[in-house]
Amino acid sequence: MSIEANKAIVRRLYDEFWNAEQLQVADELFLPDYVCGEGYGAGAPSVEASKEGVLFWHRVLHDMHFTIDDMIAEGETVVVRWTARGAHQGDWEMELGTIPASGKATTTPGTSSLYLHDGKIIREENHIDFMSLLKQIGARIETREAKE
Amino acid sequence: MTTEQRKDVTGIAETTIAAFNTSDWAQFRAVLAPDVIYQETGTGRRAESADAYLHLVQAWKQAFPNATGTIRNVVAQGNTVVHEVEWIGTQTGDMPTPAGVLPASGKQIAVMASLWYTIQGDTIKEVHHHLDIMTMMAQLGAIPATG
Repeated sequence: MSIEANKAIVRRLYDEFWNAEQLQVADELFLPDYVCGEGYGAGAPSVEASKEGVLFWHRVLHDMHFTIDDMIAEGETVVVRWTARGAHQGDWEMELGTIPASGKATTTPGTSSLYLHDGKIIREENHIDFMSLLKQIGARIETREAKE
Repeated sequence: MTTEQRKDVTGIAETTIAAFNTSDWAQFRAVLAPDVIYQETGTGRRAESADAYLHLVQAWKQAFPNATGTIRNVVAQGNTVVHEVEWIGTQTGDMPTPAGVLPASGKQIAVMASLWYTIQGDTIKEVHHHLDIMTMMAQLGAIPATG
């Protein structure tokens, strides 16, 4: 597949899968053994988990929308710098506890590295600024030892 | 982009990692445009000059004197270079965080990050450093680990 064709697949990932919640396109975008990692406590290890992730985040962040800020590609790797926006209108259950809906508008930056094979995504690594998101919705990050 | 052009732009970006690893600040600064913009997500820190950027980087090295970055993947197109980097180090110095100063813990971190460089001529014009600060704080024992 060409670099432009791979970029087109990744654009569909954001436009159709994430933004429009068209979960049925997953079979066209991902290989069955796709895996995803994204740092602190939020990995989505499979296609099914990614579908659940779309539903989860659209519930927590109403009208969540990804904007692609920059995208480059080389070989079968596409890297994306993005901004996700949405209103925190659903409770966010996480391992640290539940953060009740705050109603606040959020803007979260992140990057994704997507590895493709034969025109489908086989692996994804994300770096997401969860710290910034937590601060925007008023969650207090309790550190065990930090001093002001 | 020709192979030679790719080598040029990736080489400029790689200089910053190599210079950070050896604390060669003159070499680090040599590839920065005077008005370089540096944005660090996770900490929210931003610098708008080579001096300010260098100051932030040196602060990391004070908190983690043995810190090194290993480039795990490089993607380049046009004048943009993206590095996936694994940062490893031991926190033997105080570390400023969004929640206050974290005293030296003696704990080791190993976190992934991606750095987006915009190259202009022979220098770096802009850097976006996407750092997994939550994983880092969990590894330092400052917040609970997950998973």
